[in-house]
Amino acid sequence: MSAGRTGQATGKDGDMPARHPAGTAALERRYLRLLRCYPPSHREFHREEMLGVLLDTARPGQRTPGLGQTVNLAACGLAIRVRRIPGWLAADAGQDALAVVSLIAPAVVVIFLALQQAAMNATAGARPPVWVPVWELFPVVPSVGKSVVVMIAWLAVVLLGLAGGRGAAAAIAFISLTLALLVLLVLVTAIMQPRTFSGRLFQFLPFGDVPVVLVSLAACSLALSPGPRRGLAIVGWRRACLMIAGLSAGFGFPWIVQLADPAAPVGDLAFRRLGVLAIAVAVAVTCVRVPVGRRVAGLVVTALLPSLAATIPLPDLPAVIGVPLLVTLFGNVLVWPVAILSWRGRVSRAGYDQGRRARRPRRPPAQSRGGSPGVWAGRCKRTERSGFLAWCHERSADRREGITMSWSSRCGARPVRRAPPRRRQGAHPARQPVTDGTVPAPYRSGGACPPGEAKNFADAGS
Amino acid sequence: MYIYDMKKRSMQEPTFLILTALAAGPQHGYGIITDAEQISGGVTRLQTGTLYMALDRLRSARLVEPDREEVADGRLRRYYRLTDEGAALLGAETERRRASAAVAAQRLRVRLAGGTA
Repeated sequence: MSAGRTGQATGKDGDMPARHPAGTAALERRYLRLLRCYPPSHREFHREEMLGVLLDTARPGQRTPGLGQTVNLAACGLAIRVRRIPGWLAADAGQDALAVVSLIAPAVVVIFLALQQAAMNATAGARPPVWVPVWELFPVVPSVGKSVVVMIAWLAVVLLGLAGGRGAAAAIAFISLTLALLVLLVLVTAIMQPRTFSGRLFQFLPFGDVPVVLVSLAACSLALSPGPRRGLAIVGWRRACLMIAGLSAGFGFPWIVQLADPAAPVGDLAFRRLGVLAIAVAVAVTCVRVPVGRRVAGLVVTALLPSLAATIPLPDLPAVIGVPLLVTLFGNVLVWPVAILSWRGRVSRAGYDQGRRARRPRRPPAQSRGGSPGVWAGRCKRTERSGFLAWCHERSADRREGITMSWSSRCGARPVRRAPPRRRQGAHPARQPVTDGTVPAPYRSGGACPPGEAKNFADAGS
Repeated sequence: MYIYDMKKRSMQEPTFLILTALAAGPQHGYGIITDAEQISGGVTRLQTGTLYMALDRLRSARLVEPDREEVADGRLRRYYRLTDEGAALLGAETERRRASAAVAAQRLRVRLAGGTA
């Protein structure tokens, strides 16, 4: 629709049509609404110029966007959003979120298993548990020994992760995940081929009696992230404990209720829905207000899928068993592509950073640490040798400087810089900290200054 | 990565038109749309969404880059220019299209000669 063809008046620069103010405001508003289909970063860069082009190509007197243009803008906006998903996943924040998950997911699994075992022991005398999660579709023979083995294995995963043995922790998590998937396979076999099914396979059940999606999440985050130490450096001990406690309470809600009241009707549909709500609330409360919290919440919430599937009222028995089973398998594989993309992004960035580091001279360590380079190098090596407690000690010193470094970043990887505390909007300039000894703008021209605040500035200046 | 992909497959028509429109010099969005329509003989009309999706992709592939910004009628107008990589890619695509067109013309001549004989 060129200017000549649409009959628009030609503008002063020859190639732009003249503006028609009447009706432009309404059209502009509608275009702005359509531009919300685009990702925020794209809008921030292109919004004004896109709006100008859209208004320039509009017919005279047009008040609403045409159908074709609406579809085109919506489709292109969504296409750009989809195209940016791999980049979004490969960002640093994706790896940080996986590191936080690798810290909290194994601990939640341990607490979940402990709660489950305690609830089973409590209800053993009262009545068998009616509510069966998807990973426990048949009544489980109480075999305390095997359950304790699984619990100890996951406790080892937690401790190994904190002690720096990420690979060993991931290996144990993978063994547990494999057993859990085997149990799922046993259940599928039992459903599909009940006549040829061997009952001996049930002896593996206690080994695989774990929340499978949560275990899958823990295994992939341990294998494809910088590890729990990085997660600990990001969220800190206090927040990590709060997140673990909150998520354990959410995922272990039925077991907690059974511990409180062994005769509680945990098998009812309403109660299952309450359990899903408890998990959702726990995820929202514990994950949203931490660094990279939304990404962590997005990853952890996949473990909600089996419980969500268990709340669907299904008519017959095969569907009651089959649908949650399929959802569990889907949840298992859902997080892996995300983690792999994130890991690939980190690996490619690391190669790029190494190239940059080779060209850039290193900053003299004496400037940043207040010691000789030799002392710094020695400290770095000692830190590597002397273990986790020494790292914690040095990390507290770094936090005073506003820099948080993980174990691996101490020897050259990327540091996490904490954002400066957000300044309150509209705060009085006199209450802002003066760092360079200058007087803020309102007071430079001899404007009115409250007496008490003038004294503060005199103090700050001196 | 985009250049690598482009070497393996042919360039899409909107991309070719945008790069051609920018080959003569920097242009803003509306200028690219009108120019692309003229280049294609009025056959292809770029929609605004398509243009900016292509520009976003080309900019991330470093084939085009912002040149300057102006304010006209109270509205921002950003000019884009072709980078050296973009010019090289456009040259390669032009050669490819020219070779394809030459083959097509030759075969049509043969067909015409066979029909008249």
